[in-house]
Amino acid sequence: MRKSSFVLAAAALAASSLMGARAEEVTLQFLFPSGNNGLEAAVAEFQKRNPDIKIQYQPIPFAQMNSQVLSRLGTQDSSLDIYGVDAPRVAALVQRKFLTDFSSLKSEALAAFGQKPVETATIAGKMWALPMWNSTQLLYYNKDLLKAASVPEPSADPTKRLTWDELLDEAAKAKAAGAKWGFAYDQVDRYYQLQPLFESNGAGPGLSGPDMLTPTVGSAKWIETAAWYGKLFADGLSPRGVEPAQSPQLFASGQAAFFYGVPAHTTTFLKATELKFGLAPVPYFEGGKPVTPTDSWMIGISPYSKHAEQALKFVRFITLDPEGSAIAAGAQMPANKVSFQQYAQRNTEVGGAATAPFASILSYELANTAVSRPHSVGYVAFEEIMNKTFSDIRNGADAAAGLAKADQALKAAFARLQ
Amino acid sequence: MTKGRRGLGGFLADFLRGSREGWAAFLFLAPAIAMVLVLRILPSTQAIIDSVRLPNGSLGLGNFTFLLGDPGFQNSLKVTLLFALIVNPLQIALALALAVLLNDRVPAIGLWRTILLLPVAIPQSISAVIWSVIFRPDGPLNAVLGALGLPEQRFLTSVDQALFCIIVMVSWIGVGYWMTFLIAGLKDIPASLYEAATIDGASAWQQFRHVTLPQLRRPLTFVLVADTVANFLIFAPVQILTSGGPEGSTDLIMNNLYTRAFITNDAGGAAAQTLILVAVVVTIVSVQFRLMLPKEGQA
Repeated sequence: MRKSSFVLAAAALAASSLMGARAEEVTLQFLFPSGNNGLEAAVAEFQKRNPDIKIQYQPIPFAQMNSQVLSRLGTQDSSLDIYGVDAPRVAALVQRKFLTDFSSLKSEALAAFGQKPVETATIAGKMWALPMWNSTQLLYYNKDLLKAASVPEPSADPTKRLTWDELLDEAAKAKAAGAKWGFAYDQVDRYYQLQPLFESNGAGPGLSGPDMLTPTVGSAKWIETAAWYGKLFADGLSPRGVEPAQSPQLFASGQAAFFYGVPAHTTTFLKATELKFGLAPVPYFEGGKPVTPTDSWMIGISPYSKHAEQALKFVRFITLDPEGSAIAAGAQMPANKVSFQQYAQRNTEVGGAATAPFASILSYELANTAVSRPHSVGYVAFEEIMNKTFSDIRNGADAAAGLAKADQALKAAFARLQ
Repeated sequence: MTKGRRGLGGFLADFLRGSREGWAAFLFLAPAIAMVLVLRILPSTQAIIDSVRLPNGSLGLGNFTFLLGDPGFQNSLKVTLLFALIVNPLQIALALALAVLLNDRVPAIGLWRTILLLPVAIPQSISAVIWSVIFRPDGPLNAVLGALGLPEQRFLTSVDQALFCIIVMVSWIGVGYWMTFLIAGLKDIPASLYEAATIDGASAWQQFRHVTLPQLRRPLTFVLVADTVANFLIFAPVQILTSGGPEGSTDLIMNNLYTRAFITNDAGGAAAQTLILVAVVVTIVSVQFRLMLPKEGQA
């Protein structure tokens, strides 16, 4: 009797402890650049579906993302589980052993995202992150400003896109007819948006070699294209002293005739009730090929996470799951092919005639003109040095001298990489 | 009771002998010692070790030789020294002038002091964003210049003007702060000294030169040293306003260091740069202390 009651008590204790373990809540820390409301909604939806997993979403400014990840994972901080990975930084993060291998999900990822995004996430044959968003660029134009200058609206047909010379000619006419600015870049001075200029003009990405660690930014074609970029600002066609965060406002407030920016701004510009705008494919250099930037944020899991299994569940939800990835995208372009179709259709319909070519332009650019940033462990240093060089050239520095200095700085920085 | 002024050595001897007083002293000192160890000694040791660890994993002074030959670092050091040479005297002179002015019977004195101190309460990052709009080529400052019939300026986009824009912004924040220390110093000067000087027929300038300045030596030394160190460590305004540009003209040393450590991931180079920065700051501060020592015959 005494023995049986002991067994009963032990069983009850074991059952209660098991129930306790099942009910135990796991909290995951998720670091991502701020300003993306889609992720907050995705976190809420995931938690509703998985009450035993709590996601502590930590939005931080974009500029601090790299330093936060480096300082936390550099000290093997196990409290950080999931974080945003900017596509061209995968190689550097892999080199520092800051990412978990996702290779077992490769076939699933290929089906969900297609070949290109998976290639970007793959280093030395292994896949290290899951693409969450994708990107391309659109040319926005202000209908009223073009009409005032008697400039025809550019065609939405990607095979009839403007050349850069044609665009600048029309931008100058619009400025002469009263527009404050003829043309404005969205992410001014950033390599991401400027790489297509150099690629379209036949100058290449600026890096070469098997590891993409040999700078070629001192070439004649690079100098020619950089000088062209500097002239935009020297001639007063585009504004100096305006930072990327302030750029979209130039177009939204009707100050710029043309604007070269991400598709997500369609939503922003539709809110500007006074603005009548249209969409066109981005220009190219005559004699060259049309090129658009691509890739965006991916999601990685820290190898120091103590909850890798639960972390993967969340990462799958916001990337591979069509429903979850659609929520996580918000106004951004989802990398997931199913969610992308819904996103493209929604944005095509949302603005009537203004946004009618949205889906056709995006699909064409992603399939035909998208070029990724170089995959290199030196990319982070490359981007930093080039962004500063572009900024100097915008502010009036001589293109040849600026690029020679950049070439020297790149060689010194790459020599320090091991 | 004979142990009134025994110093650390005496307590250490007591502690080593295991006496009660020695243990008590140790327990009182332990939290401070632990803090110094964790927050100062360990990170400094780590920085020294990292500074001699080369990118290929071997040990040596290669990080220092690389830095000293690096045009980016040389430019950053040059810009920082130029910045320090202008901003420190400027801020201290303005803080002193305002302190003297607001130490007198000025109407609504509390309001003026609050207005001058207010920028310190605003986070530097927010101040920088506000100033970035003010300094925009199509911003309000150029609108004011235009209204006055003056030519537009390029401000942060000009190699020649960007550093001065940073100096204006950090002085807007700092002057009111340093002024409060000097006002406190002015309040401590006995009124009898001014009365005696007045009886002796000293003019206002002579009173300032021979009474106020010598009596302000201690708070001035503090402000000089603390302001110098604070200005060497300026980071957020540069990062937000210019990122070190145009053409490296505002690449103050903390911005350069941050880029090296967290953007280009050169941990060894960044640690070596930290040590060089500490050496430069310590040297300058030592010279300042020496210059501010009272001359013979002065209090």
